[in-house]
Amino acid sequence: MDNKLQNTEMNKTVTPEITRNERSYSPNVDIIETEKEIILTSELAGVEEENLEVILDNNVLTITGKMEEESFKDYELIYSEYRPVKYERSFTVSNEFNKDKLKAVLKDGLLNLTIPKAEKTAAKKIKVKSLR
Amino acid sequence: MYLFNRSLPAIFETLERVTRDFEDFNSNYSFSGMSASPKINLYRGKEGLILTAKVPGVKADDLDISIVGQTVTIKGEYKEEKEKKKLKLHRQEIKRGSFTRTLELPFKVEIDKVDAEFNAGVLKITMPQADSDKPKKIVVKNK
Repeated sequence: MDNKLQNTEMNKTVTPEITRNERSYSPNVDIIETEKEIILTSELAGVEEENLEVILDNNVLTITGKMEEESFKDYELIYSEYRPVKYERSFTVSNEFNKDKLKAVLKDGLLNLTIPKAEKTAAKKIKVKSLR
Repeated sequence: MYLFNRSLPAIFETLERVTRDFEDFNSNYSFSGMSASPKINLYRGKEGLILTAKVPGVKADDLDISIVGQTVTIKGEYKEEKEKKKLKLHRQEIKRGSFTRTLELPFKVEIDKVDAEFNAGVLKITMPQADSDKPKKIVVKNK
C-alpha cells in the first residue's frame, strides 16, 4: 500500500499553486525552440494587459495574470464552467538566450514571448607582449 | 485488519480522481465527444441570455455561431501559428484543432437581435428573448 501512495504523489500532474489567499492556476503553454529563438505561448483567456505581469528575475521568468471579472448588470449566472481566476507560471531561462531582448505580445487571449538566442561570442585571441 | 489494508488504495484512487476533476475545473476545455470544446458560462436576465466562452488563440474570423430554434452552435478552430522551423518542441499543452459546441437554450431567442463580441480570447454572445416566447399575461375575465 505504501508503494501505491508514493506513486500517486510522484505522478501528480500540474496542481494549483497556493499563493497568499488566492489559488492560482497554471496556464497551458507551448514552448518551441527555433534556430534563432525560443517562443513561449501561453493561454491567458480574459486577461487584459493591465492585469498581466511578466517578470524576469535573474534566470527565472514568471508570468502572472488575472482574468477579468465577468458580471453583467441585471443578469444572473445560471450555468458556469469557468470562473475568473489568477494565472501564474514560472520558467527558468538558460543563459543560452539573450534575456534583454525578450519580446512580449498579448493578443486574443494568447501571450507570445520571444527570446532570441545569444550570439556566441567569438573566442578572443590575446596578444602576448613580451617584456624586455 | 487485512480487509482494511486492501480497501485503502482504492480510496486513494478515488481521491486522486476527484482532485483531478477539480483541477480540470480551470482548464479551457470541457470534454464533449472527440474534440476539446471551450468552456462556457450562461447568464440569464429579463432581456434574455448572455453566453460567454473561453476561446483563447481563436481568431474572431475563425468563429462560427449559428442559432436554430432554441439551439446555439459555436464552431471554431484553434489554428497553429504559422509554421516556424522548429528545432525542438519543449512543451505542447495548448490544444489545437477544430471544435463544435452545441447548447440547448431555455427559450427561443430573437435571432435578428443576437450580438456577438470577442475580446481577449473570450467570446460573448448576447441573445434577447424572442417576444413570441415571452410569457404572456392572460387576463381573467369575470363572467
